[in-house]
Amino acid sequence: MADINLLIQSAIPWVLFVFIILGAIVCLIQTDELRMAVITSITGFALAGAYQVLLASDVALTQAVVGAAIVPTLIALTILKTREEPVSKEDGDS
Amino acid sequence: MDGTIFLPLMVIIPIICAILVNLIHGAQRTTKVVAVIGAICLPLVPILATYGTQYFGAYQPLINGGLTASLPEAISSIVSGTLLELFHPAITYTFGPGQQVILFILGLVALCSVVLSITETKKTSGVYLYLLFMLTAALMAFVLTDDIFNLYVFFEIAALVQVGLILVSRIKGNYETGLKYMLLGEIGGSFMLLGIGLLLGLTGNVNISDIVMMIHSGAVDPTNPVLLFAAGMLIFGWLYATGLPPFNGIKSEIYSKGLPSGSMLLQSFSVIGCISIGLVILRIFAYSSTVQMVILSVSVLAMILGICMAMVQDDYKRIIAYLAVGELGYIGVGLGLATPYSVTAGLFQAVNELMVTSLLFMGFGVVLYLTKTSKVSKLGGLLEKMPVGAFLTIIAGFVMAGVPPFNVFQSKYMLCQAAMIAGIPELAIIMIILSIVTFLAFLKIAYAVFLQPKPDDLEISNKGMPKATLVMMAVLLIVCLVIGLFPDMVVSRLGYLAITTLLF
Amino acid sequence: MVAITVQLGALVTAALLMVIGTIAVVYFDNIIKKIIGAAFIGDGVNLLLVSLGYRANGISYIFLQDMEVNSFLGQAAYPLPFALVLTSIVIGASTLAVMLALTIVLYKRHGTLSATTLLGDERMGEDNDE
Repeated sequence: MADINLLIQSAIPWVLFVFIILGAIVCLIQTDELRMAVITSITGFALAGAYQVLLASDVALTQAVVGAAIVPTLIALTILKTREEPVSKEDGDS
Repeated sequence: MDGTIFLPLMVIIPIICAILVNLIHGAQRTTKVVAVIGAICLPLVPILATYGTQYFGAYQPLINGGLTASLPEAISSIVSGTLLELFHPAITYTFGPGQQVILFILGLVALCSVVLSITETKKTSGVYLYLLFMLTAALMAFVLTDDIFNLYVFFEIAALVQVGLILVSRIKGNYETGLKYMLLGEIGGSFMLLGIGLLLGLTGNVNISDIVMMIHSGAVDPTNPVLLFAAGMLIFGWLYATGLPPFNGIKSEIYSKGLPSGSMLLQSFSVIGCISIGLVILRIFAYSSTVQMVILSVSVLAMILGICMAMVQDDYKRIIAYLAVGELGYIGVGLGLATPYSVTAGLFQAVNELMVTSLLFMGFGVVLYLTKTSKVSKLGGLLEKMPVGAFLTIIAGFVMAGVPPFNVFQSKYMLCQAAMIAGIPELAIIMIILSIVTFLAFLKIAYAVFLQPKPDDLEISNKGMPKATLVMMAVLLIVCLVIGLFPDMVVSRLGYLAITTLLF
Repeated sequence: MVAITVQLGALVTAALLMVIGTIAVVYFDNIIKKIIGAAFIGDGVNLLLVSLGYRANGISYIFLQDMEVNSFLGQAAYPLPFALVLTSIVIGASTLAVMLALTIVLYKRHGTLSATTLLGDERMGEDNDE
């Protein structure tokens, strides 16, 4: 039992690292933009976990809030806003 | 009263002013009064302050003895007698004679910028004043700080505020430029943080004096390739902040998208960023001739490119912007030669350029105010409309090109001499030739705008000349003249900064 | 042994994240993807900074009353980089927010998210008139 626990514990960082990289790649090759925004949170959340593993618990808390919640929300909002028809074309302020 | 309490005030006053003008945004008169009082404080505080060091939170190095009592016994026994005692545990601001001169001139430019923005806009905008004050605070902290991460934080603040300054001007294409600049800024800032991180990993410190001490005491191998990589990253951040190639295009675009008062502070960011980050790089990597060669070659490239690009433009804002980028190359040459004399000359050139480029932006700001166009080919005959303004602007152009007896002549002369002493006379020749070309480029726009006959389709508005602008220009020109006639009082102080940079 | 490789793994991950971000900024045409790429570069640098403070078989850097000083010093992680990363994360998020806001404004003007049309060089000539 102890062996399995140790194995899991030593495997956790690597799983997180793989999630970070895969999340980043998968996020960027998406064609559907809204899905891209959601997938951004995978990298953000895996990063938070990695910070926790690397003994920085306060940074992990901040990253979990910012990277997994705020940033994807902002990106999703932007994408929703840019899906609407543009209000006016080329009305550059003079 | 101890004059060192003014050290944090130099950053705190502009920040408080920024917050205040933003809060009382609605009340026009109060906003104006607060802004003007705050702006007048900016050049005064550096004069009143005494030289010294400010430890934030009173966390002094342990060797000073202030904190020893509060440490547990076991830690004190480990720490005592090691290098750890010398380390700075908190953010440290250093204020010496060199910083005093730079901050005084910076405060003067900020004062002009605030007054200009109040007089030239009909409705005083609290948000715009907020941006101006915030950028000033960041620049003051740039010069004062001895902590490389603090430098990075203010670098990012300045990057955000600069984009804000571009966005509030209603010039066409400002949003595009702002986004482009911001994207580059995010990357430049990240790479600079990477360099800081590598330095932190190697030396365990973010205080510049401590990093230098670690390298000089042999605790870190100076030939470590990671250290050189960190130098590369810091130089990347320096190039972005300064607008030397490959960032000269975007930087001059930035200048031309700002209002005149904003452009003055935008170029101050380039100049102050150039010397403060440049001095950090010089201090940490003083032993490496490769780093100095890189700085030198990029600067020479910037001078040539900037001035050549200026010759082919038709927009006077772009011409001044490219000339400003070209002039930054002179500062880089001074830093890159890395002798005490050349660094002094570079700093002197930086101080002068802060004023001269501001003068040009102010002068042509008046032209823009009167004619609402920035195309040189559409302009002409403005001499009758604004005789005093034209006179001051042309004098400012002469100052920039290095005509005696003004200050830029002295600093360019010093730079040429430094190049000769360093055994690179070719560099001196290049600088003299480029100085002449600058003069020609400026003469071209001065002739086109002021002297040639007025085109028929040009409409000049009948609004009077803004008096405050002329007064500000005259004040700056007088300061230029005084420094040009008595350069010693500036050079001796800057020399102190240069020597402490290179030796410690 | 395992712990050292965790730090190494974190460094490699950070480097890969920076490379992915740089590639995204350079090669993607969609402006939102460029912005996300720039955010990934920042994340990579943060991860690098955090892994600098990591200590193999270490403990978190909070000094509790019943700890012994010497063993704490021997085991605790180095907290300075973590403090820097906290600041850096917040800066990165605010920069991202401003960039996205600018993107919305530009989309409303030009009706496209393509970087070549929004930020391309051909726009530089036509922006002279105020």
